[in-house]
Amino acid sequence: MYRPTHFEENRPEVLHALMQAHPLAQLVTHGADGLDANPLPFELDARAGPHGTLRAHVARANPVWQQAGDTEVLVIFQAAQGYISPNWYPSKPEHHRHVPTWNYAVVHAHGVLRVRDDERFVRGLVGRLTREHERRAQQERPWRMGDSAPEFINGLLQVIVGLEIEITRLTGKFKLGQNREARDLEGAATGLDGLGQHDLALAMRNAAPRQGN
Amino acid sequence: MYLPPYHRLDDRDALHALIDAHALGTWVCRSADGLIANHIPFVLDRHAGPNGTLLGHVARANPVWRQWDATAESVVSFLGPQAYITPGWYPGKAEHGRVVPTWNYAAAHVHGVAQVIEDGDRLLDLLTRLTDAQETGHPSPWRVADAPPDFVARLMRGIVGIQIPIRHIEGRLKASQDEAPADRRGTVDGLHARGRDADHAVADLVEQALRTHP
Repeated sequence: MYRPTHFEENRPEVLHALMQAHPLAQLVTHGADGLDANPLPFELDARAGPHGTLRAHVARANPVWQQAGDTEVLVIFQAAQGYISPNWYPSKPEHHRHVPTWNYAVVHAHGVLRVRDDERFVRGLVGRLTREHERRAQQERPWRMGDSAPEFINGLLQVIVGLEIEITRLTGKFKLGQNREARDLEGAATGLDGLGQHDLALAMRNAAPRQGN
Repeated sequence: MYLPPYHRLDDRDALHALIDAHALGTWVCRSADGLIANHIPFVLDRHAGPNGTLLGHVARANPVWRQWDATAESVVSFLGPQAYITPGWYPGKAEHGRVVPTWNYAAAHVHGVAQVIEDGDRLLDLLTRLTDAQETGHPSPWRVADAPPDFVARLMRGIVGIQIPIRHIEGRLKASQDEAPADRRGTVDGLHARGRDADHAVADLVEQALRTHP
């Protein structure tokens, strides 16, 4: 990924936070049929390995685990993103030396895909995924795996396969207008707010260089 | 992308609309150093080539167009709305308990060999298309001609155009089609009631799928 210095983000805790907040990521693999990508919800274990470890599951019928096992893969996480109109920059009428751009924040995790065709592994994984996402969904009565009939769950666990990727390289690009004048960044954030894109507006305000820096 | 038949999105117009509405593509190329991914806004030219062509651009300083394997296909993924689906929304939970959580989303994946565009006229045409596609709907749309020509010319020297004639396009609409009708309706209501992030947009996908694939 091309990363001009002002858009580089390398702090592991910041990258991990984005991955945990946006767990549906693209698993990109390179198999006999060329490049392939599958969107999957990932669990990040931030403490396993030097850069963390990703875990996911796929349908046994998904050929990815047979084609890409033990190969280098890329997992791509993406936070809020959006088009930025030059009309939002207060400095535009002064010199018109602006063009449109797109803002976004992404994380790329590289590593080798290990297939974990192991009932204990997938049972533990889907249990943790369920607890985490039911907590976030703020269900009054969170759904638990134990709410389901055990033989039904046992059957489903047979038709999924676990995947595990110990991250060997982790990079982030936070392209959030940090290179703009403060008033133009705020103008763009206000424009996004007007379209209801509050998450991107907030990320841009948080990324703004602090006054005096 | 793994495509169970009930999730397969074959409708060409729906796939194109997904790209138009979610134009930031995740573009992955092969190189001698492994996979290279960049995040690029694309505009779809529906009429160029038998399956249409994606048009975008990168900074000239971006090494991708010097490093890619120029004969290998790249893949561009466009991800639409997505949300976690809790079985708490399924009436079936109380009836028989044979339910589990899932994640819904819409995605369009394009495969094709990328090519560089360096011709100035074609590049300006590409930038104009990209701009107009995004500015449509703004109260007073910004136009490329609003910027001084010398400024635009200078910026154009700093970029290269990318075109990807589409060889193959596939889409996955993962919108609860494999659930019971009552559970699908419960999902629509639950998403609307939660109303966070893309919840309303995902509810619309589930509702559409209920109509087209009851």
